[in-house]
Amino acid sequence: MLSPLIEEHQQVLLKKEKNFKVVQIRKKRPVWMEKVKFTLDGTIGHPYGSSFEVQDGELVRVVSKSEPEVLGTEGTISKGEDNRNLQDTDENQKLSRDDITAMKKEGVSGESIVEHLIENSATFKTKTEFAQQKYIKKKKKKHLAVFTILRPTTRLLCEMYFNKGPSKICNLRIDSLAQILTQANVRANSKVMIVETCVGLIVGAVMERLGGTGTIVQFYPGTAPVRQAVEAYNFPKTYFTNMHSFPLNMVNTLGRNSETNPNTQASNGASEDLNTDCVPTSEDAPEEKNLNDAPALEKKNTKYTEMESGSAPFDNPEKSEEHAAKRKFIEENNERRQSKLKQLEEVRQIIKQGNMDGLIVASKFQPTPIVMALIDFVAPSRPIVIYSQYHEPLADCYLRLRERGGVLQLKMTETWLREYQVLPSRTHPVINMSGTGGYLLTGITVTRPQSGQR
Amino acid sequence: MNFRHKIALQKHIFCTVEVNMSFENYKDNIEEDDIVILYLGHDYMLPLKVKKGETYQTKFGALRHNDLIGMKYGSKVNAARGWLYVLHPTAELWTQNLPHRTQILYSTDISMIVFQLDLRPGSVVVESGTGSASLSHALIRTIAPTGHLYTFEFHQQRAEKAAAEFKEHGLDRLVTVAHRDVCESGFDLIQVADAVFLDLPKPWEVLASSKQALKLEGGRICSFSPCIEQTQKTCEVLQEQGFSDITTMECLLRTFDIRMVNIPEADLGQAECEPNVDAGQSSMSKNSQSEEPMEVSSKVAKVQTLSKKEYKGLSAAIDPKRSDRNALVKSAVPQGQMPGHTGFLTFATLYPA
Repeated sequence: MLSPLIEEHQQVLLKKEKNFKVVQIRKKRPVWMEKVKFTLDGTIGHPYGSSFEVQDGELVRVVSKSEPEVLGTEGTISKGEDNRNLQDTDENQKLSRDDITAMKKEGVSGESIVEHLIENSATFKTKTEFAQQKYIKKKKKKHLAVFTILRPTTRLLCEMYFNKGPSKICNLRIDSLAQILTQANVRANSKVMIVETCVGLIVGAVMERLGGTGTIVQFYPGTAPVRQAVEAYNFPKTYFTNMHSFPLNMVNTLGRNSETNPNTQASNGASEDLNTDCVPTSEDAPEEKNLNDAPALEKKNTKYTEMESGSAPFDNPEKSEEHAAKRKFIEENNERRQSKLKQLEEVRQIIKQGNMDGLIVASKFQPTPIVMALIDFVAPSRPIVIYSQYHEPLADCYLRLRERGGVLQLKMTETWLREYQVLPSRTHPVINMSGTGGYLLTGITVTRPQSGQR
Repeated sequence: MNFRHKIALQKHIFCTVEVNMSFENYKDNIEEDDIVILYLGHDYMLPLKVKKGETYQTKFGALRHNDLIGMKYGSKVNAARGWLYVLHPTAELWTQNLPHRTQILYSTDISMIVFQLDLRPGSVVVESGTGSASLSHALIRTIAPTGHLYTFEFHQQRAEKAAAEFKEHGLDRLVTVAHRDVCESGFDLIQVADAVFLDLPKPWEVLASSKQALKLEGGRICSFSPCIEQTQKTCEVLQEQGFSDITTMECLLRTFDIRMVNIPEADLGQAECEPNVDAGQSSMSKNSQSEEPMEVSSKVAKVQTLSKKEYKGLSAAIDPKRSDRNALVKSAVPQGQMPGHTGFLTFATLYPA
């Protein structure tokens, strides 16, 4: 099982208030967050969920306090009834920004600074109790730099992406992702087809719910699947054994009449650009680069030898060594290419069995052609879930599926999500709310009638 | 019941056993003792336990169980007066079609709960109250095959019914049902759970015990309450008990009907010096002018059962020369009614000490 302690090389979530960032624990490597720079060495060996403060550029563990509105010293401070006499001016606070910076430099604790701010506030005593709590909470947020290290989960990663870069994930809000995973019945031993352009967040979420079992076939646009989010999860290598990829631009060759001859694939130009399932490590990028640079490198080597001597390669032993190395390089490339073609053919066979347990589509592309092309490979009585940032493409997909037949319980839905502030005598929905989290089209496949039958 | 003993047992069970029950894993064909879901129409489904020799009367005619055995899931079955489909059971279909013994949680809230509690295969969950086991089925689906659900119900018959149901569905090895009032006696579980879920009238009474039940490395908790007062009290006590990241939210489902709607053009009269084009109107377009849009769309409501070809025919019948705007418009129409409230979902994290 997963270790509850923070270890080096793990991808973790660094959190300050509502701000999340994925970082890797690397000794002596500093990270930046909210204008503060520090190393993560101080976290190693502590449990996930621990809180830390920055001291001299290092993280030091602190006991987290779970009452942001309270200091514990205000018991004796008086309070007012309402703000009828409150004047909002800069003179209310006697400490200047320079004073505070100086205090911080001296090493005064954040809590202490907040206490000083209260002492030097002309109006604090006249504020209502609630206003005082709000004031303390606000000052603490500003002056206490407490960082928490969390284990990455779908819930936190989705929130992070939605808050910081929603366009990366097609505006997929947490409730929409939650519905997708449930409606698609993602669970252990399931075989799921995924088409997504959400930087791998859906793939990661499905992998989390599969727990290393089952099968994923991810269809990707371009030359390689984007799985940036998957890296954050620290999945063990075994989770990738049944992870397969298939290029979207070859989906039309999956039809009933297509050839399964590997030679046909080679001539289709399914060459160096292939990148079937692989564990996303830092070696990925260079490997792909090598493959693409092979022809260039060959040219470069030839040029070099010609420049050097102007004579035939075999004229002296040094040159023949270079030639042998070059030949080995080309052979290795060919091997790699052949193995990738073989992998692609294996994935093709998996898909064409036509007994996948579900289809999830969540991309920036028109869903209808994708769904119409892939739904035949889903077994009967299985869910299909199509997400779109907009409802028009889903309405179109709905009508096309109705025409096609073979799908029951077609429903288009969206979920409405609202957060609440719950405090004694101050409970109300929060002031800001998300306006949209996308739409879903769901349905259940069934066997289609044979032609001639009703 | 000694839970600590049970926990010790669980750790040594390797769950690579192939279970034949259709609730836990997908299978291709129907077998005797399977629970299947009969689909009779949109949002009209019934659960059925397949038993050799039995017959089930549907509105379309008699359905012989023997005919179902060996059939592929998702097949169409013809009956005397119509047809139906036989679907594979899932937690979601069960939620939609289970016999209600209490008010239940529906898939919208269930999805958020499972998501927010970070559940996955292997998770250990504590739940109270079991109720009609709607959420229980979804939890088991997510934590299988290596996780476990401890579910507590203070109503004896409901606890027994739930236990019987789990057994019938082939899920009993993944769940332990206890008849107990947890507000009075607590869970009696020490540091075993990754997550706790509460759907109780007074959840704050069991927060201390929930804290004890959660693992040392921490975990997640969720409390579902219909009333704001319950939510306020729960949040207060969660804070006192040392839980963090306390968040309360609501999640509601909006469903859309996708259909062609008729939005006719109003007659704005003739411009001066233009021939009267209204003279040669078809009777269809005359009707669509005088009727209220509402009445027309109720006529058009029948349109959704027409084929694409018939849609085109219908729009052509409305005089195209009058304008280049097609009166028939494809629209995603929100339903007239939507759920306004189910309950407030409060989530929190227990961090390690």
